[in-house]
Amino acid sequence: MRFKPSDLFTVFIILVLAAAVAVASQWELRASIIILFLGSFGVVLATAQLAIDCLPRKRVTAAPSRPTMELPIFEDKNPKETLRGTFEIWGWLVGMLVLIRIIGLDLALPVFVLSYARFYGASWRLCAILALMIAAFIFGIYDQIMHVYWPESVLGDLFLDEFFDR
Amino acid sequence: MFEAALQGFVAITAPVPLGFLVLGVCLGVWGGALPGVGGPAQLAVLLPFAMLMEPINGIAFLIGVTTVGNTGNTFTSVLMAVPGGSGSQATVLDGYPMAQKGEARRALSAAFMVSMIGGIIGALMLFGSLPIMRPLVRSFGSPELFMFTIWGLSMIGTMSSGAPLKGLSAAILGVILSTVGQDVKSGVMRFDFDEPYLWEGVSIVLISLSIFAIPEMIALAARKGRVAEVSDLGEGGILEGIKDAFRHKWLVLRSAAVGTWVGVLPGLGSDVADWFAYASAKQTEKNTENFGKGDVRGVIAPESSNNAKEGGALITTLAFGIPGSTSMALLLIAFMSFGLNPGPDMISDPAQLYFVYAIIAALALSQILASGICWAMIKPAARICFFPFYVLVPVIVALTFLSAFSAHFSILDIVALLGLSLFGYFLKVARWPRAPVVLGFVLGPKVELYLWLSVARYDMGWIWRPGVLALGALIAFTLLWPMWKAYRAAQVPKVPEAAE
Repeated sequence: MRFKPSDLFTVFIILVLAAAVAVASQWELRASIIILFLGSFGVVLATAQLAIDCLPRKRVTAAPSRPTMELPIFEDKNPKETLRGTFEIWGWLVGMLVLIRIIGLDLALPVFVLSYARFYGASWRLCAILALMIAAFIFGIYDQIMHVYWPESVLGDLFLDEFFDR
Repeated sequence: MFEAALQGFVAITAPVPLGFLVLGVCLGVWGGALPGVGGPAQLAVLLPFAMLMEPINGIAFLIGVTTVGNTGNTFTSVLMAVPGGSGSQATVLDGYPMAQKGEARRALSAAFMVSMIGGIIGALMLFGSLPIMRPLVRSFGSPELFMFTIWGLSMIGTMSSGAPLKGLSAAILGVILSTVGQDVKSGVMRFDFDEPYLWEGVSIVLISLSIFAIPEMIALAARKGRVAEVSDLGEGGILEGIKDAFRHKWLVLRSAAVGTWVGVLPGLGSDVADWFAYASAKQTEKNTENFGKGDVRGVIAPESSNNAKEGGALITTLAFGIPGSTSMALLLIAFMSFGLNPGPDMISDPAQLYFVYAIIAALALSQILASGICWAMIKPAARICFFPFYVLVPVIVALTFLSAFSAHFSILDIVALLGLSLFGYFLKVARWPRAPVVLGFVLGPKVELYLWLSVARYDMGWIWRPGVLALGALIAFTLLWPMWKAYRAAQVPKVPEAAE
């Protein structure tokens, strides 16, 4: 029996499908039949996949010779560096979400573009051009043409209401 | 009839309508190339302006805007793994690996060539099928549509990169994701966790961005490189792409026929045409081991179908007054505001028939114009593959966030995008096929709806309808053909290496 870290994801899929079936079983049949039928089938299939992956057998694996959509990123030349890069980009994404909540989406996106590009070595000029492009796109299309109502932000609630009497 | 066709063509090629057509095509291509801007949202913004125009000008403008988005959104699918619209999701599977191999120009050129051919085939089918389409479409009830969607799901095994169990489980997960929100049949809130945001369900935009775009951007940012893994794009490519289109002419014709037929069927949804064409190509073509790794046929099949489906969708919109998609519904509103009456009357009334042929001419011209515009942009656009990650990642992530925000215009769209992206990222890392999740999500609501309608209307008697039996045979063929091929391959005696 060989249990690899990637098999944890299969276990996660089995648990999600099983939970979906359990929750759906409490609804009336009209709403649940497709989930009960396909979900149960999915649990069986995913469990079979887990068994195939974990049971000992002869394995013939060939590394893909060219890039594919399913090429795992941890097969890079420098896995440690790549893993660190993965944590970094997730940090940036979560940080952007926090920034959006604080200053609003319309301002956070240009700020993110500017700070990310600058952090990794782009010149100030290039950073400014990229940020201005995004800002112009947001203002021109979303604000002026589509008249999007931007979600509220912490700073917006604090200051804009005060100054502009919103 | 031919007099009306000639009148329609002459009317649409007059300077003013042609000018509006060009303007519409430019806007359509531009909207398609920018994630979150094109499609029904763009059409909804432009509709009030178009309604103020002369009918022939308005028709030219709106056909230009509506029918070329799938040509424009090939740029983002190939160069950034960001499906610009629902019609170009399958293009990512082989288009992006081609860009990684330095074949972006070839992929784009082939895509634009077959988009044009597919679009023209769709227009020709619209032209030729109007008199005969009525009985054919009427023979397709909910049982046949149910079997058609099951046929789509049965293709998943072919798209699962040699892991059919993972592919089917992933597709089932996609179907279950599609059930989130209020069930229209019973009113039950499914998997809503008492959160009003989930009452309307998860948007397909969020699913496609989180399954393809964000995981690819995470990979690019993590390895701190560029999209292309080669040092330059070379000199050729564009001509090679055009040759590819003619080299695989039968695939182009088959995929365009699939796209037109999917477009014709009301309610099936135009966003499955590219998947159907891709899966059908993978099943019917020889030497498919490179599909998903940058095979040009994986670009040709979806791109031939996604423009051809516009002609198919217009057949039901014009001949029956039944719009098959949101864009077609908006188009229908515009046609009615011009004093037209889409439906059987429009085909039989000589005064309105002239407009039908003007629409067909506009559709064909739009495809040629859009491909011409996109070809002109290939060389500069392909350079994106060589942009460093610190330029590409923040810009694409920002556009992806904006695109996700367009789903419901809520901050929770972005929270959902990040949550689903984590799932998409783990799918990638754990080597689970990602395409089946999207296909399952797209087909899930249709499977459920048509099954329920079939049972409610015919009880279990629907199983014995001739169309259902014929489609059942097609599904059996789809499932058994790969096994038969594998069995035949196993029977061929292995040639000793020395003999080679």
